[in-house]
Amino acid sequence: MPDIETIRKDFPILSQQVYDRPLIYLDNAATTQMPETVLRRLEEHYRKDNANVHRGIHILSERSTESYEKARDTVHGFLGGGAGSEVIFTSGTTDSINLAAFGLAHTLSPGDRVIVSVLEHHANLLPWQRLCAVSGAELLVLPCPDGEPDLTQYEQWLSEGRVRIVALTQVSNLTGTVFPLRKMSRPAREAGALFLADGAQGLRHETAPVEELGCDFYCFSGHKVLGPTGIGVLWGKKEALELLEPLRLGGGMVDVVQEQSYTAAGLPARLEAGTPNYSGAIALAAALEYLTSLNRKQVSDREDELLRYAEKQLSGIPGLHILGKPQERAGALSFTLDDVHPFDAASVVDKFGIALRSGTHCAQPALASFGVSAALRLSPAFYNTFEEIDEAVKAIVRTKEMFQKWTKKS
Amino acid sequence: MDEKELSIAEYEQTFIDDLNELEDWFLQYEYLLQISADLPRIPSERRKEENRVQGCQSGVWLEMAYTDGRIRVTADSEALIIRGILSIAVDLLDGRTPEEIVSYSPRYISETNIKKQISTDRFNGLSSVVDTVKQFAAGAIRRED
Ligand SMILES: Cc1ncc(COP(=O)(O)O)c(C=O)c1O
Repeated sequence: MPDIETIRKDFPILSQQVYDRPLIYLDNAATTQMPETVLRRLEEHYRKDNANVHRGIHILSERSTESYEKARDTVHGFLGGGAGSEVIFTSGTTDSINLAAFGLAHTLSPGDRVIVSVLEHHANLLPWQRLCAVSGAELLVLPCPDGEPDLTQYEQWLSEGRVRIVALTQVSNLTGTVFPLRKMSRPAREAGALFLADGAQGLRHETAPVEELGCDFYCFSGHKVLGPTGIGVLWGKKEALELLEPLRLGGGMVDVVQEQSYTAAGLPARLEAGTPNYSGAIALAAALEYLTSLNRKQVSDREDELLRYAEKQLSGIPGLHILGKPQERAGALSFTLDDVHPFDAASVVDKFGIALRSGTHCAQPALASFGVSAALRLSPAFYNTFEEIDEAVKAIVRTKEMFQKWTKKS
Repeated sequence: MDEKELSIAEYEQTFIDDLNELEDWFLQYEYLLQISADLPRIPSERRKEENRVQGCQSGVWLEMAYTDGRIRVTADSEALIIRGILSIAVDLLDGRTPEEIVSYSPRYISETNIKKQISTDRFNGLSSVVDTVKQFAAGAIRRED
């Protein structure tokens, strides 16, 4: 990996001033920034090659289609999917999970069971809630005391039978808990369940092939891996994807259409009705190529180091409580401050030029399991520096002091 | 200075001037925290879903009454900066006649940095606080007629 100054030059957005201070962007779990090469790729596509894909025979359509299908191969290669697997482009993780959950509804009957964990993002909870509501299946929510999944309970549920689907996050967007996916997917699949991993936060961390993790489905969003918004992926084993009833019907996903009926095309088209976000897919491929060129393992290691450093520095602040103590943490950590509402803290920290996330993080049951309703979150990416973490910690301390003065009085 | 001798708009102007004189965000926050200290708390048992203001990311509660020809208003929030903003609204509206309230249109948000605070933090409920009080005042006038 090149040195940090060189890397930071690739990200034009990072070099700006906000409120007359250098921007310190530590909200990478919400979205990551795009490097110059991705921005250029997007622009180039629109300047030179833009045309709808799989539609025309003219030269631009051919170029556009070729880039789109090449992007699919790039994603497939990046994920380490084998020959028996396929990449479906979606609009993001949320879309991917909805596609899977809706598509599997017809495979469930009353009494069947679906497992998620309490640390799930709402995107990996609500689609399964509805699936269970419409199919009569039961939703089991795995407790994660102190941010670590309860594996004993998990094995217990699996051994009781009738678990058809297990849907777990790879890395929690709240606590940064790294789920032991290999360890959890094996017994699930032995028990006959399909295993879906929400890789939104995990893909920058884990470099092993998805096949090795034991997934049937794997979902992620382009905008959390240096790509643009509005593009995401549902990767799946072909036999798992074949199970899915298409959520969306329309152009591009059919073979023969008559007035009263249609026959569907094969994968991946069957699950990609309508004009796909091909420019997003092309830019996403550029983002993944950029990550590969930096060396994925080194990117992941650097992010781990930054997070460990942040955890150490924050732990030293009296009255600051980090949520959870998982065995392995990646990408993000969340915390509360005695006497300071997260909303207040984030407002003030923002004026120091520091972007943290505050609120519920789309994970209300996860927060509730820690007995809080809101928290602050710090999530570094490899393009952040240790000095930036120092500045953030200083700003948090000053914010705390500012509020303490007033909470003592009232 | 007895603020009740000022019209709502005149009194509001003092807040606008105070805030706009403070050149940086930190001083403006200090100002809001300072005035929030004078706003009475709504005890947790009276913070109910019915009087919770919709659209606020951090909880906001509003209590209103109409007695002796005056509207009584108080508000509370878990977040102190929000409490500061609310206490301006409460200072302006509490103890006014319904007629004064219905003809008031707030400027302290649009003419100060508070508008930026609101847009960044999605504190959409703030304008609905004033709207709710105005509706309550309009209801009081209708009942009188
Ligand atoms: C763990 C996790 N799952 C799902 C999502 C949803 O991603 P998107 O909003 O891109 O669909 C997020 C995004 O915050 C996430 O962190």
